Amino acid sequence: MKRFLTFEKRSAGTSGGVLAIRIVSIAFAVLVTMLLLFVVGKSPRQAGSILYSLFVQPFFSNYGVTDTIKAGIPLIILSIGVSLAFKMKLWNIGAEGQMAAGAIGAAGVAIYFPNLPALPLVLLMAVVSIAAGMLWGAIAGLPKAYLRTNETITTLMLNYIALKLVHALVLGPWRDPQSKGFPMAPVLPAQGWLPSWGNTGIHLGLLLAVILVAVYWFVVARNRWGYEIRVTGESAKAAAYAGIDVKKNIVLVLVVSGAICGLAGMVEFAGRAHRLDVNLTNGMGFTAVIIAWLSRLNPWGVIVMSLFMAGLNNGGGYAQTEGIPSAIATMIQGILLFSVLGFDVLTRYKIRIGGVLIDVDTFRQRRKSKALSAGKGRE
Amino acid sequence: MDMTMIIAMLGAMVAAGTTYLLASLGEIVSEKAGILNLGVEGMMLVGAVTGYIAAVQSHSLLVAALVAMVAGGLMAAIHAVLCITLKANQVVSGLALTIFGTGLSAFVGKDYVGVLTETLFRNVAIPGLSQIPVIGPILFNQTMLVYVSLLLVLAIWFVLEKTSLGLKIRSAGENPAATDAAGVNVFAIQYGCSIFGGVLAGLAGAFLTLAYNNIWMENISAGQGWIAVALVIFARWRPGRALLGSYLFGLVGILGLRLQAVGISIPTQLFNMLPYLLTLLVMIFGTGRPGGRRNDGAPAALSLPYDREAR
Repeated sequence: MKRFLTFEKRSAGTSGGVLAIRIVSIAFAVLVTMLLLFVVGKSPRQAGSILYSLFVQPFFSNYGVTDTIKAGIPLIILSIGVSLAFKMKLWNIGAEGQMAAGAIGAAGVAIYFPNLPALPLVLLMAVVSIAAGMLWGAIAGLPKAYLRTNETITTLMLNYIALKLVHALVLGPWRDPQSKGFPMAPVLPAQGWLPSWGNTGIHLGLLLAVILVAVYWFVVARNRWGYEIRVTGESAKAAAYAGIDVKKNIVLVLVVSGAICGLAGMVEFAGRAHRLDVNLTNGMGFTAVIIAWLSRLNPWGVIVMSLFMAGLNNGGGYAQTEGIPSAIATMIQGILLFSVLGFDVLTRYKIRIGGVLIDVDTFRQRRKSKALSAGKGRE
Repeated sequence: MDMTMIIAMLGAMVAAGTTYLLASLGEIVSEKAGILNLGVEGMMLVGAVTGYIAAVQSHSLLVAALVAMVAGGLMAAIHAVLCITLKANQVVSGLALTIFGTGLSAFVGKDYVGVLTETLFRNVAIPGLSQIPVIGPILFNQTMLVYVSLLLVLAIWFVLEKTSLGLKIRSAGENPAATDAAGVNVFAIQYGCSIFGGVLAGLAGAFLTLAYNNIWMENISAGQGWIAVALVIFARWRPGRALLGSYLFGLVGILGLRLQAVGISIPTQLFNMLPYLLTLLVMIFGTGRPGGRRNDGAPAALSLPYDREAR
């Protein structure tokens, strides 16, 4: 019996058309959102203003762009950390906890050495936050390598442990006596704040994020270790045959991934939040998992998707100031992700529905041949 | 602490643990068929709010429970379409489901925050059984949903281990290609199990709003869906162990508060960390087999999309 719906793998290596598919999926999500808003009785005007808050304000207004970049900095760093692990098919979903561990490390330095001059303070915060992230990565990495413990679960558990630790610290020993009972640590002494650009609040972390993206690109695309990671990600067996020390690399990749996410905690702490509280990480580690996947671990894609997700998050806030519940924004984010996830199948498969073949490559080839024949006509 | 206090506390433990139990039982079934769903938190919230609204509107507990279950099942169906038919990444889809559910529940329920209802699950003492010393008051003077959860433990264990349907489910999660070759409709099994998981997550949500907290507020589950996901691993995908794990997590959840009440001061947050620490330690030291095959009970094809054409 011939089936109505069939999937056929696209030839390996064809990543073309991804951008077009992404745009179509976003458009589809907007359409569904409009429909949904209509169903719940929002007027077209209100629907328009929601879409404006989400998709225009964060990306096309001065303050919006500034806010988007600020919110994007930690996301870029985290997503790079996550992408590195994903590259080796290590499902590190512990970015949230590693970031929290890093923030704890940085805040600890600030609390116990508040009188250090600027540079030593910042450097020490960075080192300790990286060490804390490495520790969090190693707790998942060592058992994964030597006991084959599922890293998705351990990193998920480590998220909670780090977040509870933050909570315990800001409620207990690290609580700011001047916070009037609010569970938060004291403000970071001003010399420890990362320098920022004018009064925009865009801080040095941006430079760090861009450098990390470049280093990630270099390591993965051009470096022997990156090659080992990629090969191991494709097939651990093949890697072992080729003489690659898979176990060592599992530990190393998860530790480095943790280190990067830990550093993100310090960057957010010293660059934007300036004090430790339970909302510092604010789900960013989970968003980074989504970003890493959406950008298909491509470093430049990470920048674009991080800014996109950051803007979308901020857009929820803008919508709220206009009297629209921010829950709608969260919901729309969900719809958007569903849409992107669903359409993503087209990047990997040709689909046949009934007698109709949907294949991105054919569209592209047709366009190419059209362009080609148009060029010939001109000759 | 005297005996009555301990019994009262263990009764509270069972009530607190039932949310986890219902949700983790559903997740066990879904994962046994190979579908990892990290969206339990979102499905639970949607079940919680729809169940509560249905109770307020219909004054019927049966309607409320059914609505919550259908809503949870529909949420899981989104995950199923994306992951089974469209072969999307299950981790990302689950995260998206949680985000969507959090937003949807807050939006749908914004007019019901602070609204009270009398349509609630009350404790029903089971004649006879509730008279058994110690066990009676702990287990058999609870709400109906607690009894449902206990029956589900037995039923799910029985179906998974003793029936041919259970064999099909388990083999779909272990080796979908071979299962397919044997003439079993893997997609139907996976759809069914995934949606069943959502139905129970929805019911767990209704338990929260209509039997435990007796109110709806935004984000009422506060991470309990995530704990349910962790519990599945803690339980090594076994319903009986899920029951023990759920009550353990339930106990820890209420113990922090109770100990504070009697003047023993342990930082609550450190105390709340214990279940996660325990799960982590169990994962690392309880299931590791250096060099050999792991024995943590995880379905071999868990979270791997089944591609029929690539068989």
